[in-house]
Amino acid sequence: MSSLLEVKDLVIKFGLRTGDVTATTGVNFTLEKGQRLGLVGESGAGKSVTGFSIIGLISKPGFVADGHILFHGEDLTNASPSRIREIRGNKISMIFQDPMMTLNPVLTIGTQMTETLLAHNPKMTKKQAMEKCLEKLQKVHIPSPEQRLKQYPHEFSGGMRQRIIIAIALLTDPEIIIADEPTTALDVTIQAEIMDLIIELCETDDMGLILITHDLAVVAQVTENIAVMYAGRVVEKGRTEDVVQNPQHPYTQGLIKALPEGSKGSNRLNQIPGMIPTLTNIPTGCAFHPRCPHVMDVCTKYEPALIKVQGMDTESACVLSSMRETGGKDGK
Amino acid sequence: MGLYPPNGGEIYYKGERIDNLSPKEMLPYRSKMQMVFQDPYASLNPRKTIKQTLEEPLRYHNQSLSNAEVVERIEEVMLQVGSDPKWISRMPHEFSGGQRQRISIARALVVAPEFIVADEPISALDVSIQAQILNLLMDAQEQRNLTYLFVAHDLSVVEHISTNVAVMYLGTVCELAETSLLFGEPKHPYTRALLSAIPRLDGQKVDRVRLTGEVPTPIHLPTGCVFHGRCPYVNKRCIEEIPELMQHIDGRKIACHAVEEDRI
Ligand SMILES: Nc1ncnc2c1ncn2[C@@H]1O[C@H](COP(=O)(O)OP(=O)(O)OP(=O)(O)O)[C@@H](O)[C@H]1O
Ligand code: SF4
Ligand code: SF4
Ligand SMILES: [Mg+2]
Repeated sequence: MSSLLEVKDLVIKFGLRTGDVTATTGVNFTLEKGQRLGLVGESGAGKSVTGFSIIGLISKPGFVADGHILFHGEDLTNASPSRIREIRGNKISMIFQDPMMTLNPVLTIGTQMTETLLAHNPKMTKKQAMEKCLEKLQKVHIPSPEQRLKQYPHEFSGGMRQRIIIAIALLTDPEIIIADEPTTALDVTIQAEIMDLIIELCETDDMGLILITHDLAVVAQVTENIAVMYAGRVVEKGRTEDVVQNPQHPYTQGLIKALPEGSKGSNRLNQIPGMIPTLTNIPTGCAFHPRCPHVMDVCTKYEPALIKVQGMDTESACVLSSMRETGGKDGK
Repeated sequence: MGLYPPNGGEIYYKGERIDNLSPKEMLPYRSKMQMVFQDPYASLNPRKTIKQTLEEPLRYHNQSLSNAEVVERIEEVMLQVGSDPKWISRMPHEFSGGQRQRISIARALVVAPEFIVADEPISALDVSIQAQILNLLMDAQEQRNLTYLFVAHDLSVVEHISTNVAVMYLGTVCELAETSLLFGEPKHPYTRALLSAIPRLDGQKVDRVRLTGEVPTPIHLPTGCVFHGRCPYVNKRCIEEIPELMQHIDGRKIACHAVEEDRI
């Protein structure tokens, strides 16, 4: 049986006048039916472009240069444009970082929702579309949805607007939702309500979720699995609980200890020295090596692959893990 | 900081009223009080070198300093914020967000202030850089015996850096308490809801206080208690009468009728 979604060695590049720059290389993860996966990393790690490429929305100078995106085993990287259209926004929906990427300020919510539906199902009647919209608004717990359908985006609070965007994403009964920083602009109490809603929806409809965020605590709260990205690579992945409580990759370790909550009451936070590299300046070998406290000679020469850490479900892209593996009794 | 004239109320600095002073009368306070802003990209003048940015406030407040003394002070403060003094002839665009925020902090420190208002100084930075800046702020505080008013929405950062916390909702202080008291046992209904909503690294679900309703806009402020539309303990008095910030038996201050009436 093939997985719901499998991303394999995904390479995304941007064609710039000065030549191609590589935004991601070696993005690897799997999502099963009903599973919730957190894709975390700092600014520029390549989270959003990975999300965009899954729904075939990678914008102009950007393109998928290599790798595979398998949806039920079918490779979307070489699917026909019409096939991509069938899947994008239909079987896989995306909730964007900026709500105004989804909502048109001059149309009522009802118009926008029915138009989305009719675009995907030309045979549907207006009445059927209306019913479906009401059903989805109820599902995201919007009170008095009939009246709400006649209103414009600005008439909603930030939290309500986000619920509507989720309702729109649900219109086509997708199998996967990709949510890119869905609550970053919201008040903490509202953020918690939206996250509860997202979990509830995934559970009732057995939907897969890819939650893109820089906030490890949100990922810990919402997801079962996690993939940590650094400089366009997945450097660690595994069960969220394992990775957050017992991180294996030096970058993940540093990131968690940099948080007040992860520094375990110590007055000083852990500092990761230096900066995130820019795309045109990715270090040789392990991309994290200039900032890594455990750096060795070999780290500057060879890029470590993502491999299973012995005795754990976690995979880490660090020579330390491979040493531990080959040193262990069932090393390969 | 005197950037906005208040519509009402009074501000005291070390017992002296400062909200009604003329710019000239305010001058002696200006060097004692400094500000660090949220956006490290907008807060540095893009056309000035780092040296010019740091030199200007220093000369303004200390007109008797010689050129050599100015350079010495600038180099000293650059070192303290973990930046290379050799960089002072560079322009802001040559620096990353974290480095710019270090320079903003250097600009505040260079006039030897007593008090710094830091408005979300790390929220525009990446997590690994946030830790560098928080450590820097805490070191500077220790070395220079500074007082901070640290404005932030990230509660784990607030808990880490503060000794006292004021929780605000729609422009009103709900609860003002020592940090350990507030995080250990929040009392105001909004503080309770807020703390129970913080996502935690251990993934443990705390018993979330569920709120109803939406956050009103500051243009349509509710009557009575600003929180009444979402509060689980609301009653008639809450809708009619604004609760005052009152001292509680354990020393903290709370603005809530239910707490005052001993209902919760
Ligand atoms: N249109 C573009 N042209 C050139 N480079 C781009 C373009 N879009 C994105 N990139 C680059 O691709 C890299 C990954 O960007 P991406 O938006 O995926 O980051 P992210 O992990 O989502 O970060 P954030 O947390 O800031 O949203 C970045 O270095 C970015 O500068
Ligand atoms: S491969 Fe080397 S530099 Fe990279 S994370 Fe592991 S120890 Fe550090
Ligand atoms: S005053 Fe009333 S409405 Fe306001 S917080 Fe207290 S109980 Fe709730
Ligand atoms: Mg992004």
